[in-house]
Amino acid sequence: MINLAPIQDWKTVFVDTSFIINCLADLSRLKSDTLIYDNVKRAKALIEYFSLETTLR
Amino acid sequence: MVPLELTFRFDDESNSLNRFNGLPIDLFATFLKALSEAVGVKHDHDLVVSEIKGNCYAPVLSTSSATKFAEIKVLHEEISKNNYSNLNQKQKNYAKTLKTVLGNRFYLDVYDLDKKYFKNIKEIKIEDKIKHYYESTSVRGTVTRIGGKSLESKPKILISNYNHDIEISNEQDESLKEHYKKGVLEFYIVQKINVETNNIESTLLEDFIHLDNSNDSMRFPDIIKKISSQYGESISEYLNSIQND
Repeated sequence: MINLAPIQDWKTVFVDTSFIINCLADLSRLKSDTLIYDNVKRAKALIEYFSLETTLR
Repeated sequence: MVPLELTFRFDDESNSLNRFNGLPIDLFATFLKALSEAVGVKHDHDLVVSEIKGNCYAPVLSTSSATKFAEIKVLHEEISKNNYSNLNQKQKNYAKTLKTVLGNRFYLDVYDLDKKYFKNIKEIKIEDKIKHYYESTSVRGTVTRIGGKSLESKPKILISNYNHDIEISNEQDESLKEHYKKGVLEFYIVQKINVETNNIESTLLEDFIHLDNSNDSMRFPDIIKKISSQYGESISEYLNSIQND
């Protein structure tokens, strides 16, 4: 079992290239019910969370 | 106690050295100092120059310490074999000094009174260890000074957020003038760093870019959204094509 701290306690987030590509994609242009669609949706949800309260640069 | 003596006979192939045509005193002093440090002389009488023989240039060194005597013999035996793996740093320094003293001109014979111990040192093959390494990095800042100390000196700049002069080319000198005290640039630099002290000895500018100030106040998620609005469609097309494959 992976023991992750609650997201609000994260101090630093390292992201890889595939995460950034997923963040940049336009979800409405993707075929739904695919693995890529789900990954993009999750990546965008995460970036949306960070855009609320963050000093990420 | 009988002093223990070793003769250090410097000469060249044409036997041109003698008591009046010997080593320059600065070179001789360097040799003696390095040897003194190599064998760890602590007291005035540990190792002394007893005489200089005259049909060549051969200082005789004497010591009352059997340990020092043996140590000097082992040291020169190792150097004569060009084997430095068992020498400590000061002994290696002595070997390098001796290499300088001999140059490509002289050789050295080291021997005791009855010459049962006799070592000939001609060519010292000891490599200088690496003194510097180079590190590439980037730094952001504003140009606060441009120019060298004189018209002939290398052009340099000083930037905020970095405490060392940065050497630049003449072309970079021209390009950077318009950015003097204006805006933030990103500088790609190569630092020359001293291995022993870790100090930056010089810095060279490889390249620089002017940062788009409009992005400076933007957060990472905002930048992602901005780029996504421009290229999101194309990226989605690409991802769809991967999915089809």
